[in-house]
Amino acid sequence: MSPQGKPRTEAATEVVERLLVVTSGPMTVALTAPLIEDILPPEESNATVVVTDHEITYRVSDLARRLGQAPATHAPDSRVILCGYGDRHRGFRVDQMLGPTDVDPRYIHPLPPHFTGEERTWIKGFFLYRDTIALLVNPDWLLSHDVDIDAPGSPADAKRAATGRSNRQDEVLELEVINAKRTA
Amino acid sequence: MLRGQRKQTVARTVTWSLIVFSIGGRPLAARTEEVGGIRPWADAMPVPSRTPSVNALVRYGEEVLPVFDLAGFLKLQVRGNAPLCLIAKRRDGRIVLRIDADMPQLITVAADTLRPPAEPDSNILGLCQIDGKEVPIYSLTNLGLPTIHAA
Repeated sequence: MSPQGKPRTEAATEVVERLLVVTSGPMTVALTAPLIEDILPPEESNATVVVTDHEITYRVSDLARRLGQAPATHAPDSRVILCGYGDRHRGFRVDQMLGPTDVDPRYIHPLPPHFTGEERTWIKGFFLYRDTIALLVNPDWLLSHDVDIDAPGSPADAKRAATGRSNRQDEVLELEVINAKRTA
Repeated sequence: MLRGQRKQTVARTVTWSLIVFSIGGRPLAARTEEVGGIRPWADAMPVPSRTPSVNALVRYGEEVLPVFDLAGFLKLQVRGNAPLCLIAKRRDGRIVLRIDADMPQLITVAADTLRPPAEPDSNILGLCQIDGKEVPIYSLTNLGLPTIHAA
């Protein structure tokens, strides 16, 4: 499954932001779809800390730790999402994929003004998702560090999992549309 | 005023209307005009944050409000299985506090009975006596915000 596509999909007058929503630790997090290069199948998502995919090396860490939170202690549906932006590539382990969604950018709100610190750089905004709130991570920040001290294990003993790009067409997640017309 | 008429002074007691709530069993108070309401607590979404004590969002229907972790600020643990949400009218917008499950009480105190805190604290307006206990009155308008000094 790959939710890759334009950052904004235009259909008639509608402009939507295509996002992948996941759970990571205690948070519901949204990643912009164009950032996502691949999603490892469940059987390849467990012990991996470094992934080589089409000669690109992705260092894998928990998305929750990247965001300063503890990952879930038990996540049977854990997946690794391979992300790329320019020449920067990273993999992030998430607890569960909730699915792709199209969101009208008008419904993506900045953090309230009470948040005055660096978090305004980390989080692009939030939107209402199902019965909760999803935090939209800033892709520039997400891939901005080459070294991640939070990564489980050290690179020296990292297990390499060489995979081919899966592009699993058989795996389709239902697209949700939030405050915009369905465009897919 | 006619010449010769003496100005009459009426002894008028200025009172403060307070909401008394608790966190970790410790009673705290706030002026009622600085409270936007009390609701059952809804699950909060943690937000990675470097802003002191502001570290989550909470959703009530279509409304999303930031959370001020007053319990953490005071190094206390909220008590009760069904904690409550107190909406504070901070000067930069509404923000919510997670408080104990005990229903807050409305009381009125005479302003001239209030005492200043032992150590200056911009978060505390003063101390009042309730049931023999000294209870701090928190300034929800300025909670956790830097003090504004008049130019």
